[in-house]
Amino acid sequence: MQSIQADIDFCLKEYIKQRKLEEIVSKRQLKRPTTKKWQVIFLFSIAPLLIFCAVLFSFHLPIATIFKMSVSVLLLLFIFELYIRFCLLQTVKCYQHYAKEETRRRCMCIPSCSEYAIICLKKIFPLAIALMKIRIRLYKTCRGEDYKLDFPLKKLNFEFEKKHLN
Amino acid sequence: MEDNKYLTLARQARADGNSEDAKTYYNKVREDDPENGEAKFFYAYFALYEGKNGEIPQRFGNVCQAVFSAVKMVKSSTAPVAEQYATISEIVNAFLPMTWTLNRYMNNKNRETKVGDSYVKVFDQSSITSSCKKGMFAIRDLGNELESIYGGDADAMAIAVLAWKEYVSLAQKWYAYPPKGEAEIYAEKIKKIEPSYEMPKKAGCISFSDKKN
Repeated sequence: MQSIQADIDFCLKEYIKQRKLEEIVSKRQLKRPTTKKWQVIFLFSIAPLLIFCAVLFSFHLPIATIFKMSVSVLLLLFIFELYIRFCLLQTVKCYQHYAKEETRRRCMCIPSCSEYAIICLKKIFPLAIALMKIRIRLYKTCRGEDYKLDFPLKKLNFEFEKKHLN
Repeated sequence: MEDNKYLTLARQARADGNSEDAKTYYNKVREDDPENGEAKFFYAYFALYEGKNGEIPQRFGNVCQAVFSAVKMVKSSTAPVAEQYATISEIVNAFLPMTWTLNRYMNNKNRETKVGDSYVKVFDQSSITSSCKKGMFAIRDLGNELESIYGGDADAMAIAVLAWKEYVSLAQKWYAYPPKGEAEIYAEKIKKIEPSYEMPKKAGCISFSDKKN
């Protein structure tokens, strides 16, 4: 009897947490940034030009070929880590601007998947890891029937729990 | 609903989380006063913890049945209306989490022990499903019952809204079980009483929940 009661009490604690999360999710204010479609298209259309210029610049430097290649790789990394990251960030903001309320409210996680993507793109380096985290969030974490508290950084999770769930 | 010493002891044991004592005292209250709704419900509630895991679906069914008669007994008791509401509120607040909690408990048990590649099934899927449905519909009907027996009284409706909110929440999670569009109907009912209510949405950013309904 004690064992069943202890297990059910444990589930009851989870239930209480779920209810709190549900309330937060149902009543949260959705941000609507002002990013427009044309801005995103413009940003992405410049990217190939930037990459081309970076490669061209590095190959015109008066240094040995091996160094030219190294500079080229460094410049490309720089473009991907900063410029492409910025483009992706604007894409998410564009989604937040245009997506229907109904679609955005389907997310069962805290923060919402788009907010999670923004935090990842701002705080997680390198870009590949940030993208991987976003993919896991969309296809694995944001599924099922439970409300979840899932920030990309443990510190943020802890802070949220302390502020809203205790 | 006259106060007797066993009822006080039972309430004390319940507040302390001592389910064995609570069940014993509530049983004594039932023997003294078979029309005591609180004792009827909480006896069934604490009996759920007894016995083996295999008996849980059956015992949960008993709780689902007991909750309706308990509410009716409280309503027909001689206790003041405020006390009736307090008792009903306690019954409802104890009953509402049970469906979700039991579902989680059953699923957790089924994932507890692994032999080879497969888990040892403590509960079969059909009993989990039937418990979910039974609990969900009992919650919905409990709200409706409160609405009908108290004729739309504000305090009773506040308790009914709690039940409907739980129903809508479960209906959105287990959207295959309730009749199509019923969650929306109850959400509208809740909104009439509580305009700030936001109906929880179906699961997941990238999900197939819409296609199933």
